Amino acid sequence: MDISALPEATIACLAAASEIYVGAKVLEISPISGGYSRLTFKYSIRTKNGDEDIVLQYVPLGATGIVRIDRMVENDILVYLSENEGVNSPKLIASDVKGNFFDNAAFIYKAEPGRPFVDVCRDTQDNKLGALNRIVARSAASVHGQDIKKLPNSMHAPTNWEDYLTSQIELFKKTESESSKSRPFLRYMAKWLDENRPPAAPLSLVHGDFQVSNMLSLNSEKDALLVDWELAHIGDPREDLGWLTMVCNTIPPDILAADPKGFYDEYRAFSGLSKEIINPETSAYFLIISSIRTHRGMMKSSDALAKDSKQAQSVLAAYYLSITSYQHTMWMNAVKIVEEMKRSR
Amino acid sequence: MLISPSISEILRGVTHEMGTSLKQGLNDPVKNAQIDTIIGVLSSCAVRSENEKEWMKKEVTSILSVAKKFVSNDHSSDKISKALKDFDSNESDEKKYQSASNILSLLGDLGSSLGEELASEVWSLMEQRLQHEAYIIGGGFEAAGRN
Repeated sequence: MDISALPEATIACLAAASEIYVGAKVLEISPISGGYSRLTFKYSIRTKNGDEDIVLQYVPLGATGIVRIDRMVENDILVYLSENEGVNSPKLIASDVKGNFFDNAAFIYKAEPGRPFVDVCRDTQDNKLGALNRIVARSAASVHGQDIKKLPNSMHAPTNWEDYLTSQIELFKKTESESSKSRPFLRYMAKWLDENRPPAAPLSLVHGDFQVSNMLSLNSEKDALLVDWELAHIGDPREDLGWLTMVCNTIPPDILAADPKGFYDEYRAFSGLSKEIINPETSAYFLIISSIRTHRGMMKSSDALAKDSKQAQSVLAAYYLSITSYQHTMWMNAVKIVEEMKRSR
Repeated sequence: MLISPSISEILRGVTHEMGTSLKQGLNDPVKNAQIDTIIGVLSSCAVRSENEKEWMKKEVTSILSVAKKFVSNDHSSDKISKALKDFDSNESDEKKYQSASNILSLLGDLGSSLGEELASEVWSLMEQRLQHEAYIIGGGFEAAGRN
């Protein structure tokens, strides 16, 4: 679908959801950067009730992200979050999962007047970054505090924590066995993860891409809104903390390193989870676990490039090799951290 | 055959031009990220073209040494003994490397049952491979368009 056709499709989709948008007009369009597999725009629109800003997230037909997304599940969790308090998330106004108005999935939200949290972090002096990581800790705890029994039925609920963790470790082995080449890091990690299982945690809603780039600063930087829920699932809450650790190490500023104790204390206070369950050691373990989904997607993409160099998005597939190598580094560092902490006890 | 400038020299020249004159005046953040992505890929290729063969041979030698030590120490693993025999049937450097990688995977499968000394040697093999990978990506990683 051509970008120029998106405003018309947006108004049609909105009008189908609510009568107030019938006859609405788009006044201004601004692209929002971020995300490799979908386009995001902010539209200022005029409705019969007045002017308002909305955000359109549109997945172009044929766009392939690293991880295969079930847009119906994404839609269901967005509806759930819009209808339930507890997690600061964007309010979904309309969606088009089946491509009735767009040619592929699209989600339309109420625009929130906030600054990208990552910009706030970059503009903050290093000695004051610690205060910001409390907001991140509370945001994570709010996600993980949701009652999983009330989550949408379309979200797969694991039977229990032990089986869930086993299934995640199996993904390392599965990814390796599906690859055309032997992948020693995947096999090594699978064995190590199995031999070093952490204490169990209650299963919870997991954001799946929990990082400061997916947050908007609100209320004079006292609170934050969490966006981009496409990888949300039910799993171990420490997956989000592990992924956050990985991203903080990769993309500056590292707000976790600014004051790790403050972050973990705040998270534990708001989640009610114990120090035995929530600590840097378990975050290091789940840094490895949380990255297998993207690693798997990138491996598949690289393998496909090796078989057919004319495949679509070959530059990205080649680029993924660098990311997988970097993940290997992060995994090995995580193993070192856990082993050293075990020795020091 | 023209071999000068070398493949890595050509790639470095191309990435330099992409990162300077081609990016100058580009205000579109998406296009900028795409160029950064291509620069990242070509820079890695430059390092690989200079070192890949040598590094593969180095890793193969180290892996075989640890695997042979494992077998000679009366550790029983039919899979590793068989993989070592299979290794000799490979002719190209790439197939030898893949075969050695398979042996490294098999050693990794054994985890702590290897015992402290051999486990430490397998860890060193992983670190050796990691060092080469880290060198290829320039020591660290910068997310194109995100930093």
